Amino acid sequence: MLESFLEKYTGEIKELVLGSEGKKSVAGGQNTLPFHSFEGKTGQLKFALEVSDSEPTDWTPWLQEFYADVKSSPEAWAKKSAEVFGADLIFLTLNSMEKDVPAAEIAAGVKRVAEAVNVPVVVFGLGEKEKDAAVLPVVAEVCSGLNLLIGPVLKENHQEIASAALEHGHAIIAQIPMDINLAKDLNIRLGKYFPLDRVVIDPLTCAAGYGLEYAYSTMERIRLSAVVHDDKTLQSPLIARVGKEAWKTKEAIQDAGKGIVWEAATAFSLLLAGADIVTLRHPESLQRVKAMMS
Amino acid sequence: MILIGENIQILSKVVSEALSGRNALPLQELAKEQVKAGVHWIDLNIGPARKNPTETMSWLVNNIQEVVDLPLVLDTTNTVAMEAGLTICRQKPLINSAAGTQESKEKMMPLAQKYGSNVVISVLNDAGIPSDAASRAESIMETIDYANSIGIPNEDIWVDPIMLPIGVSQSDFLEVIEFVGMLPDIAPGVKSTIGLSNLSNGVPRDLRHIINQVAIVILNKAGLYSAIVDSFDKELVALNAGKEQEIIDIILKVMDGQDLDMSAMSQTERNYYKTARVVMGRELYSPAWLEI
Repeated sequence: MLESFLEKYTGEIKELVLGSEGKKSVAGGQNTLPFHSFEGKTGQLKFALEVSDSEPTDWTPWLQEFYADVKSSPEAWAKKSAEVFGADLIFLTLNSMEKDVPAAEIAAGVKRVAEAVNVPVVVFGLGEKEKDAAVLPVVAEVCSGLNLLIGPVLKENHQEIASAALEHGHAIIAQIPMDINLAKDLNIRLGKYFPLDRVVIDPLTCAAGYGLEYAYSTMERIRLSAVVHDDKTLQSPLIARVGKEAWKTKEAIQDAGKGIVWEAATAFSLLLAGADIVTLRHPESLQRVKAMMS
Repeated sequence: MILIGENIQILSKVVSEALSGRNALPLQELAKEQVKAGVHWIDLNIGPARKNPTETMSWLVNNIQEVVDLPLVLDTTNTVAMEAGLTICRQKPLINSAAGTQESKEKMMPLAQKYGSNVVISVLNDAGIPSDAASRAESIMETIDYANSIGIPNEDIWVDPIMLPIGVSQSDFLEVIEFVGMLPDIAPGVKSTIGLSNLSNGVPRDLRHIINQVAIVILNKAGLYSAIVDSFDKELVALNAGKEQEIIDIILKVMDGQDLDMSAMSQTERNYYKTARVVMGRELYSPAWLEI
């Protein structure tokens, strides 16, 4: 009886498998809208904790203190985030690129982290088209076969980065500035040589109270187009990089407790909009979001 | 459909330089070329004309009337310039434009009545641009009511539904079509017009024309009376004249809700088919829509 009242959607997001043998993890894989488990198969959600490959200088003092014992060693930091704090993925930001460390050295560092942890690693450059195009292909090559998720890939540098990722067996993050039409545009371009089920879309995000509604509506529309309207060009998992945004709010800078709530609330909102991978900076907000989900 | 040529407009560098330097020749050339292209009215867009509004508009109207016989559309927000143009047009001109805002009702609309001219009245009101067909209808009925009350007959009113760029709101075009279809019932006798090129505002430059071309075929079918267009888009003028019937058929079938088999189509037909699907909101717009 109930079946006749439920929606059947035609669109589907394929499962994205990340990580090398023995430490694989799956994101996405849904044929319905977020949390609509009564209508179909919901996707697998993955929570990443952020780790910087060089000691972070722009993180709030609360976080600097919190990670004081590990922040000078990316491997130790990543291991603790995965084993002690329960991160599903490590989101490794390549801040050492700001200091113009040679690409080979950065890539070797990424490899050490990926081999030290028992979960898959997401590698994220600076978002500067030339620097990323110079460094990320080297990372892809040095970490060949580790099945990383590498980004950001922009309209201006997708050929350099995505081709290297394809050659060495990595997935990519396609980044566009909060615009569903541009998300589709970049995926059409990528789809000519890169399998779209190995692309994660990063439509950018904002923290609650700082423009979250724009990020929310972009994600929501991308997911509706993919699942409800079966738009093949948008059937990719979505990533919400929440940690960075949440911890630069006035509230988080004033008070660590508020920062945790801000991070958790922003993350939860974007999960409702359709995020499949969420990056966070504090394990307590990660625990809170996971608790809310269960 | 009646075509209004948009090419004499202040945002064009050639036009603004000729206008400020009082160099009539390039402007007269532009007018003559538009006549040759086959449009029916010539739009004269001088912008807000803050400096010498009266002299600017009179100078332009006189010079254009010297070389072409088509009726003129006077396009400025400046009511002083507008009045200067209205007093010297040889044929009944079209004011572009008035709206349902308080200011427009008080200042622009009375000029249409005073000079017995035609007037574009848009759905804009003090609350902004209405978002769907029903609220456009509500706004325009109120404004037309006001226009009638000050002595402007429906025959002189050209309703502008205002169309948003496709990259801003893809569904807005469908609301415009629905609204155009409602017009004869809600305001019998009024004409209609639209700024066609606005639909493709923000679209990559080399792809703007095909969007405009598809849109004019659809709007024509929906019953739109006229459109303000790029006179030099030959394809658009040809489609509007009913030429290239195969292309028109493809576009109208998409408008009708049909899915067509692309395998038998030529590359040109495929491009029109894909574009029609994007314009009709059946395929999400992206700047690379022809490449799928």
